[in-house]
Amino acid sequence: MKASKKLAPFASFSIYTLLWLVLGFSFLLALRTGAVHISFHQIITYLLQFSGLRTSNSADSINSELFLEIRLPRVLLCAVVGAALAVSGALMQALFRNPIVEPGLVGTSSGAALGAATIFVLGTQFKFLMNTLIGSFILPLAAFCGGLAATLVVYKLSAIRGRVTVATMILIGVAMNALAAGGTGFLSLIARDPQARSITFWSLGTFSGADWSSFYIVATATGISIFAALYFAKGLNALLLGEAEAQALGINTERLKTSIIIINTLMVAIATSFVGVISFVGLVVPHILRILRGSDNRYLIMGSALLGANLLLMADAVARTIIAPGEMPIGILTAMVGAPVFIFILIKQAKSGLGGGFYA
Amino acid sequence: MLELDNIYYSAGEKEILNGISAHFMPGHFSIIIGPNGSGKSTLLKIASGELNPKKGEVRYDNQKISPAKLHETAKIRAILAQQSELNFPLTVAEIVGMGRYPHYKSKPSKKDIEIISNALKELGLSTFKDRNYLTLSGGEKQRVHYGRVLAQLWHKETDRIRYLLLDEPVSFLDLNYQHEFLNRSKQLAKKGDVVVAVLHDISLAALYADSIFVLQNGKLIAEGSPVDIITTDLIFDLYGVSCIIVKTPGNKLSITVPDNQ
Repeated sequence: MKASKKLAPFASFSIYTLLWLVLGFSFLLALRTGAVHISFHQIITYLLQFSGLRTSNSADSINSELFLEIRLPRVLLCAVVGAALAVSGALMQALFRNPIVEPGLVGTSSGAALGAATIFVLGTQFKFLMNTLIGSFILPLAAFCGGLAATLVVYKLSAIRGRVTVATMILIGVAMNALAAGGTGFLSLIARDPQARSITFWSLGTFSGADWSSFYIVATATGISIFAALYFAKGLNALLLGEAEAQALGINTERLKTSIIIINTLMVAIATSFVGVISFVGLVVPHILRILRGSDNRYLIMGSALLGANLLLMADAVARTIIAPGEMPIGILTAMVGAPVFIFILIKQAKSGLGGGFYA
Repeated sequence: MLELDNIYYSAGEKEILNGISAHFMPGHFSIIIGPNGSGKSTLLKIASGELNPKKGEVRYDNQKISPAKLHETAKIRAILAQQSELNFPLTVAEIVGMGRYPHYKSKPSKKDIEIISNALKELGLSTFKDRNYLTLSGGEKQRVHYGRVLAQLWHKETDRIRYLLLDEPVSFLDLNYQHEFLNRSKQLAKKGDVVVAVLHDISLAALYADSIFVLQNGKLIAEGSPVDIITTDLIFDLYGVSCIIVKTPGNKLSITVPDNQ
């Protein structure tokens, strides 16, 4: 046993404040770094231009355009996706009652990727449709359907009479991910070359295709989902005690579980349809927060949104500079950092017998 | 009143409960006893609605339990399970605080916070209210969950009867806490509420129960006050053990098993 038994050395308020401050910092840092260096002075000028407070200076219009049309939406999208993935991790961990779960493990991401890849490849057959307004919603919709189907299958198969067994869950998750990856691979095989390359690059996870419309769509979906998740936070806390206990506390557990799966899929699938599969963010973020201030989901959901945004902003800044002038897909980076952490948690958990032993 | 009406239950081929009818009265501390596998815990799970009987009906205040009214029910009914599956770090105060969940929407009221702190105090948990639940011993964990169900039923919300269902509430506890728990549960029953517990320990059951319900092979074979139904014959019949029963001055029973095997 550890010397300090106090679980909450930090108040959630001070954690939020810290995370907001760091978020401002990583936001500026992310705006600054990249193939073209943009100074803080320029950032402020462009942001003022953007908000219409200052007229643009034509001599600097290339940089200004690069900043406003490429870098700013990219950085914003990155923050929102980070929040979505981290909150999804917190939600899935509460639902499966296990701290090793994350959207990449339970099939949400790979299912969504398969759904999106289908549209990438087959969408060219329906060009007339894709160019309409409906077209821009078909991709996220297909990703949502794929992600929902995969998550539901993994949850239903691994929850035997409401009790999720870890081994079954991981194995079914592995099988589901392999199946979806196989499907995505097949699609890129039958696709013509430029598409195939873009599927490969995209399935590794990347923000290189970010633009304002993808930001708006992902931000809306994520915002609604986080708001809804906060509404269910109390119920999720009760669910940590077990399903029967949650019911005894007046929670309609069936409705809760269905809502959480839908909320989770909405966020993750729509993000995935634009930026590909980015794994392990959902695992690492809630884990760090739990060490700081325990598992109350009312704190964990908000905290995950903030820390997730922070973490992914920094990761993307690294991904853009580490092999400059080239760009590394961010999914590779998160996988290389996240996988060892995952193995570490898994071993700790196995040694202590129960999932919770890790935090004791 | 909590009524079980002709309950049948089976798991696969195995019949677990075989036509059980029982009335648990307000003001009584009702204790269900019986050997391992007699169906005690299953019966309690059916009473709580966690399991659905194959046949028969469960009624609270003459009404069937319905999932739609789960939230309303939680204000007047608390259940203490044998073991909790909780394996996330939460503080003692957070878990006791969950008992107030049915009573507020998003923010606990002043009254809720006061009740939580009183429940912690009453169970001697105040000093470690910020401790990580996962670092506690089995007995301490049980006290935390008992604190949670006490907080849940702290006040009489309306004039409706409250219900407390306990599944093996004292199995991990030290002697002093065993008696304290059972005493507290009995006090709650005395206020006119329905308290039903499943107990392993027949001596404790005999000491505290107002009514005892004896299960054997899924059947209710005896029911009544301890002095009326607990006999050496019954105990031999249930457990195959000869024992001596002595009536103590307070009209209580003391059961000992002499070293004669």
